[in-house]
Amino acid sequence: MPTDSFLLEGWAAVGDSLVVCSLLVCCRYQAAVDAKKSRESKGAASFGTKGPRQGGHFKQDRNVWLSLIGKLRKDDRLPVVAFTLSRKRCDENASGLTTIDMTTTTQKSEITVFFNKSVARLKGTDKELPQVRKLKELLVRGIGVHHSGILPIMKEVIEMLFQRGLVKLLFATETFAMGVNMPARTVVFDSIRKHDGSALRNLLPGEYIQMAGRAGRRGLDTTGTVILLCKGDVPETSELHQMMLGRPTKLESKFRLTYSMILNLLRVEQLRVEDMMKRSFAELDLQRDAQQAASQRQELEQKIRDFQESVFPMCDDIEKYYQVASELNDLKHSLRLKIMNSANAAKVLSTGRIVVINNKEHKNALAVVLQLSTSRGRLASMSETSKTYSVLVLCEGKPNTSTSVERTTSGKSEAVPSTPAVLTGRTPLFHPEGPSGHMVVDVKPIEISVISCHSLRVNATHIIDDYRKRQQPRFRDDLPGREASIATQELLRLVEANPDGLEAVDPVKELNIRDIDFVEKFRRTQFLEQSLDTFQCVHSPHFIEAFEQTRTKQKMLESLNRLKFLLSDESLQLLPEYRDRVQVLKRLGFVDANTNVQLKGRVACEINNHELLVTELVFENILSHMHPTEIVALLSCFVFQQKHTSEPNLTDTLEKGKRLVIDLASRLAGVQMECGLQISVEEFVGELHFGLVEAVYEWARGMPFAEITNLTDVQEGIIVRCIQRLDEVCRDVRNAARLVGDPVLYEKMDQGSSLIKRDIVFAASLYTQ
Amino acid sequence: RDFKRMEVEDVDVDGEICVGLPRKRQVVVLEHSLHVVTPGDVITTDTGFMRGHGTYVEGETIKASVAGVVERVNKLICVRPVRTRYTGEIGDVVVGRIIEVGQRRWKVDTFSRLDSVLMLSSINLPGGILRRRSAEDELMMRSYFKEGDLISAEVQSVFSDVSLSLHTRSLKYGKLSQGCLVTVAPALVKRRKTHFHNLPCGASLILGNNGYIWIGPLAAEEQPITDASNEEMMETEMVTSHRDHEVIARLRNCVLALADQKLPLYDTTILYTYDASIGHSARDLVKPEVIEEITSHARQL
Repeated sequence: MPTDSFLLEGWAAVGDSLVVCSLLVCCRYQAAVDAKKSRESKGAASFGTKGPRQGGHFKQDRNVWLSLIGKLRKDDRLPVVAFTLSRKRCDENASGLTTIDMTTTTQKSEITVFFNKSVARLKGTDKELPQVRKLKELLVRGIGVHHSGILPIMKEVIEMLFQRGLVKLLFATETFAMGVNMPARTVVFDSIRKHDGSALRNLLPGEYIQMAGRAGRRGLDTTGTVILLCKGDVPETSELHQMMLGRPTKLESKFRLTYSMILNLLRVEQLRVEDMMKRSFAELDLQRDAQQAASQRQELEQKIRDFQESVFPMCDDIEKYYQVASELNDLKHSLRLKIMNSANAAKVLSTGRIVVINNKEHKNALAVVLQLSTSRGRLASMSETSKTYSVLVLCEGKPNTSTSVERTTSGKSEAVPSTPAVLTGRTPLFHPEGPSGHMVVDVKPIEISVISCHSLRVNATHIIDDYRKRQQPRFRDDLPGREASIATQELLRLVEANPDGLEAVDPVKELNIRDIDFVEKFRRTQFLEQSLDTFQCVHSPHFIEAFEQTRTKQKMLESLNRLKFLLSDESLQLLPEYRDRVQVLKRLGFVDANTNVQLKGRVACEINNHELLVTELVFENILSHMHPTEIVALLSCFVFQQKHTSEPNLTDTLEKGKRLVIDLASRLAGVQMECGLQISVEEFVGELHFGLVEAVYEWARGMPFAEITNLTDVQEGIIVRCIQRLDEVCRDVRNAARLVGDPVLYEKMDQGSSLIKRDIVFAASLYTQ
Repeated sequence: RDFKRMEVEDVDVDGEICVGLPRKRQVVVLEHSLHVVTPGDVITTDTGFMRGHGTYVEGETIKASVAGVVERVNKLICVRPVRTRYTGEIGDVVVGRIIEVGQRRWKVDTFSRLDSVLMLSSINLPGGILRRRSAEDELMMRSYFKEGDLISAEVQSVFSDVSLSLHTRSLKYGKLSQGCLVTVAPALVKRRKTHFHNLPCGASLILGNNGYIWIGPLAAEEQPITDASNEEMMETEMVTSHRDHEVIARLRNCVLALADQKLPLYDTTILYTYDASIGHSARDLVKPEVIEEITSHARQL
C-alpha cells in the first residue's frame, strides 16, 4: 500500500510526498521549516518571546489535535491511529479531547450495546472501575486508548470496536503496531522520539516502518496517510531520512546462556551445551567458515608432513633458539609500547633527546627529537599510534639513492629477527659511508628502539623550517642551515664515539615505570638476552639458513594451531561464560563435580524465571512458614517489572520476607561474581521489584479490584498482567514442592494460586467466545 | 516377569547352578559417617527444616518413613531409601520391557511404581523419517515393538502421577537383543554422564538408571541400520559367538557380585571386578568367597 507522508507543523499540514521519494520530502521539509520560522518571528514580534517552544504544553497540544482531527474529518481520512509513545501521554491526549464527537447516533447505540455486553461478564464493582467508566465515555464518542496500562478485557473491546470501524481515533503505544491486522486510513505520530528504557532516542527505521505501515487498509483505501507532528522543532532532514529510509537494524543474536537451559541440557545425554551454543546465530560466521577452515587445516597438515628438512651441523638447538627469539621479540615489542605510552617517556622525549630509529627506511640510525606532534588523521583512532615525533635522522649524503636501496632489503620487517646481535639491538649504529646527510621525518613511537641518555641542544623550529624550505624544488640545491649541519655533525660524532650503540635510559629506574607486570617482563627480557649466547647454533656457519627453515616451519605450525583452535569448541564466544555459570551451579550444589544434575538442579529446571533465586527460596524453607497470601505477594517481585512505583505499605511478615529475599539475592549475586560473571549485586537485586507486593497481598485476601487500584499508582492493566504471570510462578513453585516432596508447600501454592485467580484478573478473553 | 529369567539362563555357560548359602555379612566401616535411619526414627526435632521424600512430621519432629540414608540439601531433609522402586527423572537412561501395546502407545515396565508409557510419536520410525504418525503406523506398532521386547529409552517427561513418559528418538536407543538382562536395586546404579559403555573386554553395557542392566555383544562395526527388514534380519541371523557368550556371562556375574556387595555400579567398578575375575571360571563367580575376592578392588574406590 503506498503511503503519503506529511510533516505537520503547527496548524496546517504543509507537505505531502511519497515515502519512497526522499527528494520530495526534502523540499516539503523546507516548506515546513519556513512556515515554522515565519510563525516564530511573528510570535517574537507579538509576545516578545524567542527560542524553541516547549513541546508538550498541554493546552497547545490539545489545540493541535483538535485542528488536526477537524482537518482529517473534512478530508475523510478517518479512522486514525495516533501513536503516542508514552502511556501517560496517551491518556492525557485522549482525555483532553472532551469536545470531539465523531460518531452518529446509530453508531453510538451499537458501541453502547457491545460495550455493555462485554462488561456484563465482569462481576460486581469491577463494572464500575474508573478506567471502565472513562473508556466507555470515550468510546461512545469514537475515541479509544490502547496501551499496556489498560485492562486486558478493555483492550479487547477497543480492538474489536476498532476493527468494526467504530473507533475513529485511537491513541496507542507501540504495542498496537505489533498486533495483527489493525490497519487505519491514517497514522499520526505524536512524536518521533521514544524512551527505550535507557535514553530518549529517535525511532529506528524498523519501528517507524512497522507503525507507519499501519496506514492504509487493503481493499478500503487507495493510499494511506502518515503524519508526523512537529510540536517542538521540525526535525532535521537527515534524521527523517535516517528514520524513514535508513538501513534496518542489523540482525544480531540474542542467544543468552541461562541457568535453566544449561541444567536442562546437562541432564539429557543426547545434546551437549556446546552443541547448542554452536548452533546459535552468533556463531554463524564461524560455522560457515568451518568447512573452509577444515580444508585449510588438512592442506597445512599435508604441507607440514611434506616439509623438507635439511640437517645443518651444529644446529640441534635451533628450535629452542627460535622459541626464545620469538618470545624476546614479542616481549620487546610490548615493552616498547608500554614505554612509549608512559607519561615519563613523553617527558624524556623532548626536543634534543637522542634516540635510535629502527624502521623500514632507517636501520639503527641515530636521530635527534625535534618536536612531538599529535596527529588527528585516520591513525587517531588507534591511541598508541596517534602520536608522532619529528626527528632529524642521520643518513647517507644522497638520500634519494640510499632510501631506495634500504627499501628493497627491508622486506621482512615483521618477521622475527635472527641473529642475537639484531635481537638485543647490539648491532653497530648506522654509519654513513660517504658524506653524511640528514632527513627530517615523522616517526611513530614504536619505531624508536632506544632512548639514549644523551641529548643535544637544538633549535627545532629552525631546523624544521630550514628542511621544509629545502624540500621545495627551487631551494633544493641550497646548503643546509647552520643548525641542521651542527646537529648532523654532532650525531656523527656520537656514532663514531660509540659505534656499538648508546647507553639507553633504564625504563624502570629512570622512567619510573613500576608496574609489576612491566618489571617482570623487563627482567625476563634481560634474562633471555643473556641466554641467547649460550646457544650453540648461533656459531654455526649455516645459522641463517637453518633459522630461515625453522621460521617457515614454526609459522606453519602456528597457523595450524590457530585453525585447530577455530575448529574446536574453545573458540565459541560464550564458552568462558558457560564455564563460569557451571562453576556457579557447582558452588551452589545444583550439579555435582561431574556436572550430574542434582535435586536442586532438577527443581531449578521446573522454574521459568529467576530459577536460581526461586530454587534457593524453596530450599531455604523461607516460604513454607508463611500464609499462602503472603507467599504469592512475595513472589510477585519476580514478575513485576515496573521500576518506579509508589512505596507499598507492608505488614511485618512481608517486610521480613522481602528482606530475606533481598539477602538471598545478594548472596547469589556474590557467588556469581566470585565465579567470574559480570554481575553486580545492585544489578541482580535490582531485577526484583517489590512495588506490587501490597496490592497482590490484598488481592489474594479478597479485596475488590476497585480498591486495589487505590493502593498503588501502577496502572490497572499492568496489575492484571502481573497477577496473571504470578500464577505461572505459583505453578512452578508448586511443581518444585512436589519434586522435593513437601506436601505443605504444595498445598499452600495450590491455595495461593486459586486465591489470585478470580474476577477481572482472570476474566475469559472475548476472542475465545 | 518370566521374561527376565529366560534370558539370564540363555547365557549361562553350561547350565550348572551354584547355590551359595546366605552368609554372615562383613561389617563395613565407612570413613564418613552416614546418617542411617529406619522407619519411625526421629531425624530432627528442629522445626526450621523442611520435610522431603521419605519423611513425615509428627508433632514437632521429622521422622523417617523408610529405611535409608538421610540427605540434607540446605534446609530440606529427605531419606534416600535403600530398597525402592525406581523414581524416574527427566534425562535418565532406562532399560524396560514392553508389556502392552495400546492406543498409540506402549506400556513399558521400568521397575517404577506405575508402568511407563512410550508414545508412538516419541519413537524413531525405521529409516529415520520425521512425520506425523498415521493410522497405518498405529497398525504397524507391533512390528516395531511387541510384548516382551526389551528396549533402551530415555525418560522424556514425568507425569503428575509420577509415571514416566519415555522416548527412543536417538539411534542409540531402541530394541535390545542377543544379550542378557540383569536386574539390581536402582539405588546401586550410579548416575553418570553416560550410561552406554562399550567395554574393552568385548561387550556393550547399558546401565539403566532403573536398575535394569543390559549386557550385550559389541555392535559389530556398526553402519546405521536404516531399514526395518534389515533390522529384523540382523536380529534373527546375527549369531553371537561362544566367546562373546562367555564374556557376557562373566560380566553378568560380576555385576551381580557387585550388587550382592551393595557396591555402586558404573563402568570403572565393573571393569575392575571383571579384571579381577579373570582367574576364575565364569560359573565360580557366584560363590561367596570369590565374590568377596573379586569385588575387593572395587570396594576401595
